[in-house]
Amino acid sequence: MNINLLHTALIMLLLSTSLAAADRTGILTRDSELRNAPGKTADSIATLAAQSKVRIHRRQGGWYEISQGEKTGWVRLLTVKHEKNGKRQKPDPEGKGIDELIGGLATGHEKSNKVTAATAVRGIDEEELKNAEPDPAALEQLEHYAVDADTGQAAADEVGLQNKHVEYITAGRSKDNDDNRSEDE
Amino acid sequence: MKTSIRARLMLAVLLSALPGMTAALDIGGFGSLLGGGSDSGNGIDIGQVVSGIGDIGRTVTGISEEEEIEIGRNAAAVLLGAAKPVDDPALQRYINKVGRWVVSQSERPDLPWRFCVLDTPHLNAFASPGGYVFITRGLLQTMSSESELAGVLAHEAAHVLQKHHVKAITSFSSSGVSGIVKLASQTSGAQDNFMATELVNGLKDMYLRGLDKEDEYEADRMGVVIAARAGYDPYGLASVLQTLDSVNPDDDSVSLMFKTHPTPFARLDELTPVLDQLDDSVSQVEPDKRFNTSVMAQR
Repeated sequence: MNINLLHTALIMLLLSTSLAAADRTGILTRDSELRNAPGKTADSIATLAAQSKVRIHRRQGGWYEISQGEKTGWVRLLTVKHEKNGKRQKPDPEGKGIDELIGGLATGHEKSNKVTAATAVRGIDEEELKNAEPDPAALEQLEHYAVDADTGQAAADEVGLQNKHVEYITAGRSKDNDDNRSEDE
Repeated sequence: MKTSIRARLMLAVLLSALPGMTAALDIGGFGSLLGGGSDSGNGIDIGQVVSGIGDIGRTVTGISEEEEIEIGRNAAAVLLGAAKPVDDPALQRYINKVGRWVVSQSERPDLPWRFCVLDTPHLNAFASPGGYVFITRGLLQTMSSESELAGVLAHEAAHVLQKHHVKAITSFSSSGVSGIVKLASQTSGAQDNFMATELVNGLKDMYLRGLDKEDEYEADRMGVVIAARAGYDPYGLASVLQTLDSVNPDDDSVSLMFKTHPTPFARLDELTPVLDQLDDSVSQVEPDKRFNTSVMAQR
């Protein structure tokens, strides 16, 4: 077999596993319409009961693709409460075990995440912060990474991100909106 | 003025030498000058503490942008004393490109914005006045898309836009904002980068206490809009909050974040009516490839 092909296949395999988010489990906070696509106008497949468990596959915008038993479909993101991970642990300096920490969402990250520790990793918890000595040299380092607005614009153009006009929303407290939050209004 | 600063510095040193007298989270900065600050270190309710102070944000507008940036440089130097930038120039450039694009959609695009991934497994993000935005390696590792990253950077940028930190420092500084500005500007003039103990401790206090709870909700509301303006899926931030909500709150990795922020569940609850109104602007653009290339290695 062509060694290049094998190489490519291996990379593809690695990529696909790292991109696939493992299932997490969640609980529906209210009765929810299971829809056949992410969108309020999509057809309803079933009504799932409040407090029932679902498996979360992936997110698209404000929707999760989930399964319950044999049924698979889409529900509103904000109707699903993720199950808490019961484990309590010290953060691993290498960042491994992050999957366990967050109940498996970031599958693949722990094996392939580039953002691993260099040396002498420290935390940024209360103790570390209290004992911190200001580091002007590190501050200077940030200047080397900075980019200007044009570079930011070019980076957006590269991937087709386009800016749009959106006004700030000073939404009232959610209390007033609770009624409107009921299923997919 | 000079003598009063010196006097307060001495008082701060004296107070910090008497551990029993200061609150657990109070490390002898501006807060101790007010008689030990307001939170007790256990069962901290920052929102309650600060909301009693009222419209301090209004008085903050009295400082110049240069002064704001000067305070920010000092605050950023303090944070960088606790955690270093991840030694990965490609990753740092990537974060800066995404962040710079995002803040270009804000009302203060011309601040000297600096973005940085901090090398720590803890889950958190920080801002310093004048345009500094930090995200921890730990938090970045929980993410699976650029829209999540953009949402967090936009939330932190909103704190900068609204000068939330300046407001917070002012709220527990007896000398008011002018005293802090004076201390901060003394630093920049000093050849040896000396920072007054009072200033260092005051800035630490600021990060240990966290911001006003309402300011966190405001940064969430503004953050999702800024991310949407930049063409990102505004649910990115909500997705991060969902992830944080699944973490055991007793876990060490989230201890500081959970002490200084409302619960992720409460934040999602507050954000829901805003997101409902943003549904129409949900973007289909998701630069997965460069996110994965930058954040994840292809070993």
